[in-house]
This record gives sequence, structure tokens and C-alpha cells, in this order.
Amino acid sequence: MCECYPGFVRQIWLFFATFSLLGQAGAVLAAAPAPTKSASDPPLIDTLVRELDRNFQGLRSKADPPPYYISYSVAEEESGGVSATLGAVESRANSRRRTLDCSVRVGSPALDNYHLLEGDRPRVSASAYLPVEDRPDAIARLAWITTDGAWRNAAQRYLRVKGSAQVQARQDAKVPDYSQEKAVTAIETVPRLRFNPEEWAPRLKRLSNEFNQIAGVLNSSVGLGWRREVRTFVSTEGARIQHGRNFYRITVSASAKAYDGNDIYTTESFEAEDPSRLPKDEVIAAAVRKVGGDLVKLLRAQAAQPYVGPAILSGRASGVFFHEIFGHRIEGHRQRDETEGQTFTTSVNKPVLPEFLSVLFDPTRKTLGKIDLNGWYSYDDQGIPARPVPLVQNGILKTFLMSRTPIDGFPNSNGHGRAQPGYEVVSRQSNLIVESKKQVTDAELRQMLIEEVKKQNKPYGLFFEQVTGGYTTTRRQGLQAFTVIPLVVYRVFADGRADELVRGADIVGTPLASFSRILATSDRLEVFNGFCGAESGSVPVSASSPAILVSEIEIQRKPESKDLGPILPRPRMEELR
Amino acid sequence: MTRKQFLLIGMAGGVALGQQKPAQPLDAGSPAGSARLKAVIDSDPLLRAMYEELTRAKALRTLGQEPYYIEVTVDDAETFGVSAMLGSAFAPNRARLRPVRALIRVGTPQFDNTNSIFSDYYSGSRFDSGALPLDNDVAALRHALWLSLDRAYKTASEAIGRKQAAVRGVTSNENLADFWPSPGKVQLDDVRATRIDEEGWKARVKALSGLFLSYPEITSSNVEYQFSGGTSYVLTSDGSAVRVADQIAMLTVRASRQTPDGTVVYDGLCQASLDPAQFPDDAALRQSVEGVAKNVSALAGAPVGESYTGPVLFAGAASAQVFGEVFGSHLGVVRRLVSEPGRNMPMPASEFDGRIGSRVLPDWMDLVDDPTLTEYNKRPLAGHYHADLEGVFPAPLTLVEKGVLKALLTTRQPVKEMTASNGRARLYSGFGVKLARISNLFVRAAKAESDAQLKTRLLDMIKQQGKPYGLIVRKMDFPSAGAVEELRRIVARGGRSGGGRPVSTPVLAYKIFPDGREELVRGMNFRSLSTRVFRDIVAAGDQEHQFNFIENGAPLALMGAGNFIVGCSVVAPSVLFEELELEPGNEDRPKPPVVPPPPFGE
Repeated sequence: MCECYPGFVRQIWLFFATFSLLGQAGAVLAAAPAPTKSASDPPLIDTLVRELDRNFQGLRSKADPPPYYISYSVAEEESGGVSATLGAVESRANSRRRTLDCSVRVGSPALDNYHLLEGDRPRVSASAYLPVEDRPDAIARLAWITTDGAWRNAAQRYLRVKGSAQVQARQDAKVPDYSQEKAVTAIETVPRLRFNPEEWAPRLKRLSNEFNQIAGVLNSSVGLGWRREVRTFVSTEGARIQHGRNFYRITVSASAKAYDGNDIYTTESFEAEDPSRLPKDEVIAAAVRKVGGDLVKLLRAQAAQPYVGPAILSGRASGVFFHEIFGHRIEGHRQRDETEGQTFTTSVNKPVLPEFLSVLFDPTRKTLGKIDLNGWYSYDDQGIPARPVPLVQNGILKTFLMSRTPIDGFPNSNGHGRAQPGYEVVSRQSNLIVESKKQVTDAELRQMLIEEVKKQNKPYGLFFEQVTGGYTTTRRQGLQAFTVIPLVVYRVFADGRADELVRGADIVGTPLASFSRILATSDRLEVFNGFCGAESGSVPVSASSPAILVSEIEIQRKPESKDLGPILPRPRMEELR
Repeated sequence: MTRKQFLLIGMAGGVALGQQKPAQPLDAGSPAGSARLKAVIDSDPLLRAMYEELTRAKALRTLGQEPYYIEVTVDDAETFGVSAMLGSAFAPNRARLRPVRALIRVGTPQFDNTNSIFSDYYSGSRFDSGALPLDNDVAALRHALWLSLDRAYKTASEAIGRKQAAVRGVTSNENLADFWPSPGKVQLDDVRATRIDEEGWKARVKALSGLFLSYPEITSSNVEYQFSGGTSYVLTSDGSAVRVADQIAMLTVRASRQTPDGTVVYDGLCQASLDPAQFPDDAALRQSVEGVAKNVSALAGAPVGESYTGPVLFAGAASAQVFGEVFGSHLGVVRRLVSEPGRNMPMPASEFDGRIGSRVLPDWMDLVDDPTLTEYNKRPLAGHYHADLEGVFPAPLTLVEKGVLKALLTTRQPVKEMTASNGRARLYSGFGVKLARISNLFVRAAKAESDAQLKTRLLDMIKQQGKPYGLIVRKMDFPSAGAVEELRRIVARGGRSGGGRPVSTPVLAYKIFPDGREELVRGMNFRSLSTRVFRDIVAAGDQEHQFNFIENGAPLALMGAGNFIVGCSVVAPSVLFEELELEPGNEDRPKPPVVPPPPFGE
């Protein structure tokens, strides 16, 4: 049985070619804080290094083809969650695990077993669970067996690569398969923060009880999820790294069914690196009221109609918009895969955004104002130090997000090789920050929207207040398009009428067209914290942006369910008594 | 790379060991039954919520479809598991959970929404999570149950429509009803929570796994303890109300190594007990673990056996294992589900389907399944339960009498040749079907010989047949301790030999020569081991051997598979088969690792 948070069910996962950004997924990743020794103890590194050297030497001298590189990456994750519904604890989860990923490279950095063959994204590394105790015997045995498995995969794949027509035709021989980087030694302690989930249980119960007052709510919950993660990385190049972080997240969510069968869902969340930075109960209670209030309003709201016209995307909505339509297309490895759309591959040093916009990816940044950012780390999953990467400066594309897979003109990593334990590393996003030089106040931006509505002679414009996430397709076979899934959308009228809430709209569009239509931004950054799912699994990210005004956006109606809501009324305690 | 996080135990009515002695079930609707139900509803918020929502669900109605039967089951469970390798523990897992299942039947018992491939599928949105809140808050519990029952009803309405469409224009030669009646019974025990000695078990598992440090040539080993316990509830609209203690503990040991020719040799064991307090003591557990290690070492040095056709003696627990494997799955007949026309669902047919009245064992053997017993000869049994997953209370059942098949294990799903449920619904399967499984199976022989006589008889047979040696099997790989790849090979082999169901392999098979000398051989597989060969058992031993195991519905009851498990026991004498066929496996084997294993010691 799998305990999932309501938000988890919403995860949209189209095979490989699609990436999703979700605000809710991963709210609780189930795992257990126990007062034992942590992975940050040097004995683990000692055991790993000894086994790494022994296997490397053994394979170098006897295996055919021999490896030129081996790395071990151990992720120790302790996580848990408490969730309450309607005044009662609904679930408690705790788990802890240590995962070893072993990557073996055979051949040479110029051509190795990771060489990308057309459209093929193989899993070559091997994984195992490790004991959480640091006695070397079991860990060494498991590292040995895992290395053997990874080498077998590597050798098999290398022979295939060498034999492939693509490689034999030397089409892409000028770009090597693995970059040369300086190996780093760094041991950071990951704090074990004072935190007692049981102190939270009564608070979550009290907060969740608010939903009892809201008619029409079918599912509701107020949950707290946490995770402490320690990553240990050693390689035959000499890397010895240990680092990690804590995550805490409060998620408020509610769902209901409208009279016409539409499923309605609203949510708010708060993320922090330290539980002392989580919001106070009054703030969470306000979020509960907002989630409940929005749900009630959406139940009564009209269904959205397909529409093309001007709109404002709130800072959070705009963050997701940039993450989907821009962020996924500037991930480095996609620029060398012929099956990818490669929207921006040849756009370096060319304008890709209006000149008043810049985009920065900064994994070293932990906070923005008072908000903790979810996408930070000190080292990426190939042991490369995190660094800020100014991707777009004044509208001009400068570089790509790079792992150690080089692309033409970009031979090195910029610290964006990321993966969930158990997956192969590829280049991924971190903290996306949109910077604007054409800032106006929120009120002015709204006025500009109304003027744009009048100019275009439209009945109304749209304001996207809240979004749950989105997804995009970057492959050539698919349509080069994206979808952002709004939860709360208003119609803004030019004639001074009050804004009108609508439901059931998805923003759709194609990337290049959408960027050219950004007219201005607000002067206030908002943060969307979430987890992004793609071929290297789910990684924590954030996207921060001011609100943006676009001259034209297209919405389509959501795929709808048409089944009935519950047949019997919600139980009331006085019945049958 | 997945590990099961939760383990659910599967009995509506497990055991009440160490609890207040359970009363006999009361008749639903009787003054005593009604009084007990009312008293418990007033004191137990969970049962009260179940009762109130089940009562309300009787009013569910759309398009004239109304429920004629409603069933709600809840496991209020706590689980704990810890495993270790070479003295180091993996992170223990513990969970508290309340999985809920709601079933609604619409139509009539003659034709309803069940027994079709549509039966468990709802096309609309799902708002229930499959689990109830953990707090005993009646309002929150009822809210969750309301959503579960609502979806169960919509699933039923949708299923019956699709099933009606599917049967139109099809003639069926099985004119079976969809649901058997069963009298409502009330058994509401006062259940106390069992304390789990987490630290004690963690230390024990670490120590046991550390025994493998003396066997450096064993490359892979693991010892795991798992406990799941709590209270099981069943409430049905025909008045059954069950609340009973439900717990099971097990220790799983597995070990393997590769031989120089690439073959992986392995062994394992699974100790199961319904009462953690009755678990074997440390000395006995150590001995069991050492046994596994020694078996793996012995197997690595043993020669590969050759093809063999001839008499085979199943000695000791191997006989109980083979009865449990073969009879355990075939005695519960699986019915063919209504499918879409032209779309045939491959269902594993039971070899006992339509065989009642036929001889399936020698005429001096009987088979009895008895879930009412908690122990046998002062040894605890693992197959005891009070009520099954449908709230039906089982009684002892004679399955085979004087070699003739008399009865099958049944649930409330009607099958040919039987007329009612005998309370053996023990496992959940796909499409909303519940599977019948054995509980405590007793194999009885009226004609018995001593172990020495059995061996002499085996040697006489090979001499008569002019064979150089006979075979003795002392341990089967059931439940299988093999890796998933091993199981895949076994299943593929079963498919190739046309046998259909996979058959477990002998772990300890010995050649026995005319002079009585024995030699361990490895790598042997049965060509087939169907129920038919059991008719030709020539002799049985005078000692009874008990074998407790965990059934999880997976092929060969693969250790660690499934997230819903039940305990089973088989008590059987050694048996000598007239003729069985074995052959060595001929699959490709991976080469041993290039780098030798790391040495032990810091």
C-alpha cells in the first residue's frame, strides 16, 4: 500500500518526453529520523574509498574493456510526515534509507559507454540499499556487487555504442562524452535540527478542523512533511564530498466535485529549511481559509471558455511558466540529442527574451527575501560545486545548464548535473530567478492589462493567480508545447466590473511565440517551490519571478471528468443517534 | 530496487493468542448477537463509524440499482520490520495504518456486478484514499468510509452494466450464480495491542546476520524480522460483525553465492508464527541460520545432477513443503471471469476443477484442512484463524478421504460441484476476487512405515528397475528464497515444459546408491510436479513433519513478495513417489565477477 498525499495523485507523468513541475508532489516522501549515527561520519567515506580503489584497480588490470572512471554516490534520506484531516490524524509516515549509486565509465572521456545514441537514454549505473550502520563488511560487499553490476552494464553498452552506425559515421566525434573537471574534497555537516513531529500533530488537527465548516469539501488535509538528506560522493578522480540539507514543508489542500462533474482542487504550501522558519499557526490558518474559500468559489464559478487575449501571470504562475517553457529547453544534454526539439541550440548570443528580462539559475542561493528556496545545493550529483549561472542577460542567451556531458562550445559543467537516487544524472534546473528591468507596481500592471484588453477589443483579460504546476514536451516527435495548470483564474473586465473567478482552464502555447509577447513585469518577486520530475527523477527546484503581463495567451479547457459527486450527503453526526 | 514498506496480514480473524479467550460466534440477529453488537458499537468508534456508514449505504440508489449486499473490512494494523546483513542493520521500518476495503453488490446473487474483469474498475474520480484516519474520531472515520462506500457503489453500478453487455450474445456452459449466502455471525473480541520488542529484534537480527561472517565465500546474505499486528474488522449487511486480534511474525533468512561455473546456489528459510511470544529461541534460530549457511556451502561444492526418471523419496519437511505447494494452490478453484467477447482472459486453471469424486491420492491417504486448531502436538500452527475475509467462520474440512477428492476450499464465490462457502477466503486477487487457500493442512496415511523401511523400499525399487541410484529430497525451495531472476527462470521453464504453473526446485537432493551411500547434487529441476503424480505415492512414513509458511499469492510464494500475507501449516509424513522426472537446468549463466569479494574484518 502506498500512502500518497492528495497532491501526489495529480502528478502528470508522460513517459520520458515530458517534464512536470509540481508544487505538491513529494510533500511527504515517507522516511524516519532515528537518533543513530549519520552518514556524515567519515567511516562511510573510508569504506567507500577503499572499495572504490580495490575495484578500480581490479577492473583496470583484469576487465575488458577496463573502466577509466568509477564513482559512488550514497544518499541517506530520513523523511516523514504527519497529516490531519477534519480534525483527526490521517497518516503518519517515517522512513530512512541509504542508497548507493555506482557509475562506471569504460572507453575514454572522448567516447564512453554513456555516449548518447539517438533518442536512447539508458540506465547504466547500478544501485543498492546499504545498511545505515557504518560497519564496513556489509557496505563493502554491497559496493563490490554493485560495482560488478555497473561494470557489466557499462561494458555491454560500450560495445553497442562502438558498433552503432551513428558513432561509426563520426557524426558527433568532436564533442567528448565526459568533461574534464577538478576533483573536490569537502565535508560539510548537515545539521540535525530539533524537531518533534508529535508537537505538530495537535496543531495540524486543529488547523484541519477548519475544513469541517466548508460545504462541498470531499478531501482535505493539512500535512507536514520533512526530510534530511546527506549525500556522499567519491570518485576515482579523487572527489571526496559529503553535504546535504533539510527540508520541511506544510501543505494545505482540498478537493471537491462541481455540479457538472469537474474535479476541483486547491492548495497552498510553505517550505523551510529549518522548522523554526515554518509559518505560525495564524498564517497556516489563513492559508486553510484561503484554500477552503477558493474551493467554494470555484465550485460556484463558471467553466472557462477557450480564449486568446492579454493576461497577467502572478509571480508564482510566471515562475512555473518560465520553468516549463524555458528552463527545460536550456538543459544542456538536450542540445546534443537529435531527437530533442533543440529550440535554443543555435541561439547562444542571440536574443531569446525581451531585452528587459534576464534569467539566472542560482543553486547557491538559499533564500529570497523571507522565503527559503527549494532548489539549492552545495554540490551537484557529479561532485561539481554549485555556482550561479546567468543564463539570459538582457534577453540574450549566454549558456546552458550543464552537467559533465559537454556540448559543442560548452566543454565544462556548471554544477547542474542532478538526479534522484537510483537515476542517471542529467542537467537539470535549480533556483530559477527571473529579473526584470521593466518593473511597474501591481496596480499599474493591472491598469496596463485593462488598457491592453481595450486596445485588442476583448471582453476581458485573465489573471492567473495560482498554479499547481505544468508540463512540457521537448522532443521533436511531440508538439513543441507546454501546459501550465492554473488553479485559480480570474476574468478581469475593462468596464470596472468585479473580477470573476473561472475554473477548468489550462494555459497552452508554444515557447518562442509566448516570450515575444511579454510586455512588462511587476516589481515584486514571488517564489514557487516544488519538485521537478524528468528522466533523472524528481529533484527539488524553485522558480521565482515577478508577475508578467503578456499581450496574448491561450487557454484551453481542461480534460474533464463527468462522473457524479457522492450520492449520499456527507455524514452528519446527529444521524442515527 | 524496491522494498516493501508495509505488510498487511490477511485474516479477518487472526488469532487471539494471549488475548481474552474468544467466545463462540453468536448468530446475527439473535438477542445475544444484537446485544453484543450494540455494546461494542457504543464503545468502539471505528466499529461505530463502520456500522453507521454501512447502514447509510443501504440507501444508495441511482437508476434503480440498489445494493443487496455491503461489506466493509478494516485492518487496524501496526507493522515493524528490520533486516541486517553481516552484522549491520538496515533502517528499521515501522508503520501504523488502517487500510479499508468496501464492497457493494448490486443486482441479485444470481447475477451481480462481480466475477467479471470489470468488477474492480471505476472510470470516475477517486476521492477515498484506501485508508482510514488513524485517530478514533467518528466524524473523520465516517467521512472516509462514506467516500469509500460511494466509490464501491459506483464501481458496482458501472461493472454490472458492462458485464450485462458482455454476456449478451454469449452462451456460457457454466451456469453459476455470483454469490453464495452465508449466515451472519457476530464475534467481537476484546483485543489488546501486542508490544513489539523493536530493540530486541534489531539486536537479534544483527547477531543472526553476523553468523555469515564465518562464511566469507557466501557473497550475499540477509536476515529479516517482520511483525504485523492489530485488529481486523469485518462488517457485512447480512449481519456479520467480526473484530478479532490479528498478528503474525516472521523471520526470513536468505543466502547465496555463485559457483565457478556461474550457477547461483542459494538457500533460505522463513520462520512464521502467529504469536511472537512463541517464536523459537535464540539458540534454535542460530541453528536455523547456520543450517542455511552450511547448505549454501555444501551446494557450492556439490556436483550438478543428471537427468533422472525414477522413484523419489520426499523426506521430512520436504514432503510437507510439496503438499503445501501443490495442494495449497490447486484446492482453491479459480473461476473464469466474464470478459469482453473475443477477449479471453488466461486464468490459471486448477487441476482439481471438476474432479470431485475422483481419486487424487492413494486410497490409504486422507487430507484435512483445519483452521480451528492453534497447535498440534504442542507445536504452534500458523494457519489458524477465526473468520475469513468475508466474515465466514470456517470448520475442519475433509478434502480427501481414502484417496478420493471430497471437497474444495471455497469462498462465497460459487464454483462447480460445491454449494456454499467453507470460509477459506484468505487472499485478495485481481478483479475483486478473493482466493481460497489452505490453513492447517493435515496429510494422513493409514499405511505407514519407518524411515528406515522407506529407504529400503526406495533401494529395492531402484534395484528392480536396474538404476544406479535413487533420489531423496530433504528440502524444497518453497516458499522460494531465490532472487527474482531465479524465479523468472523457473517460470520460463514451467512454460517450456508445458506444465503451466511453475514448480519449485529441490534445494537438497541426494543421490542414494544401493550401498546406502548418499551424495548431494545441485541444479536439478522437476519436469513437472502436477497433482497427478500424487496418485502414485507408494508409501508414507510413520513420523509427522510440520512445516509453517507464509502464503502471499506470488508464484512459489516467493519470500518477501506480496503486501498481503497469511500463515499456513502443513503436517505430513515422508512420502515415496513411484516415478518423477528431474533434469539439470541448462540456462546461460553470468560469469563470476572479475574482482574477488572484499575480505572481512576492519
